Amino acid sequence: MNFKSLLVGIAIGIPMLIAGCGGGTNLNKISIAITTAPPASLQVNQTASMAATVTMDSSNSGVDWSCTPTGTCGTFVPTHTASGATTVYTAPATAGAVTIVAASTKNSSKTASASVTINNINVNNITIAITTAPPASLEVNQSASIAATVTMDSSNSGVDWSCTPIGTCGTFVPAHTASGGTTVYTAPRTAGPVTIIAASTANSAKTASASVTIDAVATASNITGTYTFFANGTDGGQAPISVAGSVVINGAMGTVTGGEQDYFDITSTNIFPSDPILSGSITVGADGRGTLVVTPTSAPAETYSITVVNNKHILITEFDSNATASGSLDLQTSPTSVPTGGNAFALFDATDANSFGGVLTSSGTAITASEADDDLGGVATFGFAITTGSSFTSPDANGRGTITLNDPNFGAFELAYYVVGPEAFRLIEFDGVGFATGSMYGQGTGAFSGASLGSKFVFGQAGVEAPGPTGLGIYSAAGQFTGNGTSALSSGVADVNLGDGHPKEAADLTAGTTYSISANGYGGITLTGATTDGLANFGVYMVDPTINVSDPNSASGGGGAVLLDLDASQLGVGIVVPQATSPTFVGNFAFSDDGGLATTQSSLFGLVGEVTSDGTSKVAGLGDYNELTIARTPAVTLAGTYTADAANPGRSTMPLTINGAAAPNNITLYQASSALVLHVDVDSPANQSGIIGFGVFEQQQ
Amino acid sequence: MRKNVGWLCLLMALAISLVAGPLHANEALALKRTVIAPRYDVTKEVTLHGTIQAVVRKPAAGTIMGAHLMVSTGQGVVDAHIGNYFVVGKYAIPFASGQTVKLTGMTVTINQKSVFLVRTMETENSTVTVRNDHGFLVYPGAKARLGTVPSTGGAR
Repeated sequence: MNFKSLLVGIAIGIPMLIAGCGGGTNLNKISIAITTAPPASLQVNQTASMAATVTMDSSNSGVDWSCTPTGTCGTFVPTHTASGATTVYTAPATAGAVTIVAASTKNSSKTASASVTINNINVNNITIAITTAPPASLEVNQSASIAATVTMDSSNSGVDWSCTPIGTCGTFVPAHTASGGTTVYTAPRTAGPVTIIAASTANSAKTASASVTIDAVATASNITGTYTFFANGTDGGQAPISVAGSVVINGAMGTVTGGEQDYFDITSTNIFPSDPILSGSITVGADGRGTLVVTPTSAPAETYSITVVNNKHILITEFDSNATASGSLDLQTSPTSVPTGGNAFALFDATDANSFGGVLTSSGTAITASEADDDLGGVATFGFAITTGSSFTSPDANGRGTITLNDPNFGAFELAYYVVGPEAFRLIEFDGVGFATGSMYGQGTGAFSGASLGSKFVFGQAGVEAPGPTGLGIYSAAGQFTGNGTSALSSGVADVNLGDGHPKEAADLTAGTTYSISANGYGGITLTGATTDGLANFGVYMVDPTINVSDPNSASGGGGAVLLDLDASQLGVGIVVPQATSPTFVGNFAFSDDGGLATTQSSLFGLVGEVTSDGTSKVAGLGDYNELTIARTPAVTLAGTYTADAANPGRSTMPLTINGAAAPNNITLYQASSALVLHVDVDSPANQSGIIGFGVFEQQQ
Repeated sequence: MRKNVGWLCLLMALAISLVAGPLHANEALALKRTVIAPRYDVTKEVTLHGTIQAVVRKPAAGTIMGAHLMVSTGQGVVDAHIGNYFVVGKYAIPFASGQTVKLTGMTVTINQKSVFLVRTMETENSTVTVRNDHGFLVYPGAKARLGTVPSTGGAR
């Protein structure tokens, strides 16, 4: 080798040395080790984090992850990591031996491996806990969100929900959740202890439970004392029937022990005034639904389906072959009271089509001042006195007294009154000349004026109509309005159904409408009738602002008026109640509906029951349904979906399916408060469903 | 003392005014009522002569509730609504098939069905008022009260 050859060799060799010793990777010197090792065993589908570190790889190419047997050994996320970085390995769904391989990306021949045995799940290791517990107690039909979390369940199979006693413990939606997911539990209709059970889906033997006490909305034992009741409706001959009375109830024993009632039935022409009640019975279910049987001395026994609103107020409808007749049962709190001072009253006689109402000042024995309206068969007279010839007698031991109201236009009404409280009385005519029923309420001590209607109100009314070119003989209406405080309505709409196939919905009440309220509380609202199918003249008789006309013993919801319709072709009676601002509609409600229907044939009907509102859009419940000449069906299902009327806050519409009928009843709701909603049926005969109805939702408390 | 008497008088006056409030009934402006003609129109009444084919106590869907007479007339069978008061109960008339009747009333169409609203009904033995002039059914037992009411009228 000469010197030149040596230089050439150095020139070529030095770079190679440099490259080989430090400027590049010596692939053979790369090594790899698993630095975060997987566990020796995993359950199927279980995950584990692992990492591998590559050394002598100046390119930092990282690690590629794989395993064998290929295709059935599990997965990595990610499948490539930087040296030392973590990947998550998920075991396969089947058991077996798996080798996890970490390979240098730079030199895939440099690998490290770990053996993992994949085992089937050891369900014995699963645990479950209720992480969102139900409340210790819930009222019947009410709902609560609950959740449970499962651990050591690599299958993530989730939670199955159940409860005991099976069949009467409530429901879950959904009945299966992911671990930690929420289900909605709805309490049953029956009261008592319930155990809610969350079970691991992977191992149903692994459970967690919670105890919930389901509280009744009412119990029979709390319905004890003397109650005043009334019911108006139709007998088997489809003629009017009415009863009012007082009944002594021993709820704990489930018995009726006495009382007294006035009764008339047009078909039989029986009139039984002051008829002693001999016996009877009462049952009340946990949802407030039950039965009251009253056995008077002379009148036929009456069987009522009832729904408790509260211990002092119960909705009733006669549910027997004799009649369908609806009303209420209210605790008699002051049996010796006689109407004194200012009182407002409204009477309605469906038999011979008359309405009669107004205000009066009573000395306790006589009327010292008065102002009244009447309408007999479409002939209305307004603003007359009934002072002459009118009188009162004090109540007897059952809270029954008598009133003579002398209407100068068509004679005296001999009425029995039954006391509810010092300012609430139920009225029924017993003279056989007419067949009027109604209520009288105290007016308190305040003076009235146009300002008395200067806020928001809801009203409802029902009655008879003279069928001219339209209509079926009865009508109903409900609405809401805001008075301007003097003589006009600043807003207002109503739904009116004459049964003519063209119900008026959200009909304007403001155009051309005037009202007047005198200092004595006598007043009226006059519509044009153009939007309300001829309803035009309302008599409005203001009550004590502390008196709740739908629940006279209630300490809230007071004020408003009793109402008459005084028109040429319609006669009706109703109420006006204050409308609260932004009320809710959630919880358990007693529900009533009565009127006329046209399904397979025309008939009158009555329904009382209980529904639960979810507060957003749905109600569901059960009711007893007396379609007088068609069928009498207990415990029919009630299911409705309601939608708020954005243009008229307080008004909602609801298709309500009764007993699974193919066509729902379409009802319009006017919400007075969170405790009271009035509704009117706006169906037409063309729907072949319930056509004319009126009723209430009253919150159970 | 005079000052005290003054206050007493004021209180008495206030008390009297409160008590007297309900005695002054017509303090508000009189409300002008709306006059709407009755839907039933006596000027459109006609009289039918015929024989009873049947008494329908459970009417078909969409028809007026209450009993109907199916009456054969020279113009065909007429569906005549008479309500229940003369069909069941104390004032029931023993209608018989083939019985002749004279009906005065008004024909209307309700839910696409023609119905004759009977106001008066005359049989061989009696003449009864079924409706008043405004079309409301009249209960026979309430005649004493109805007898005081004019046949026409409306708002005051």
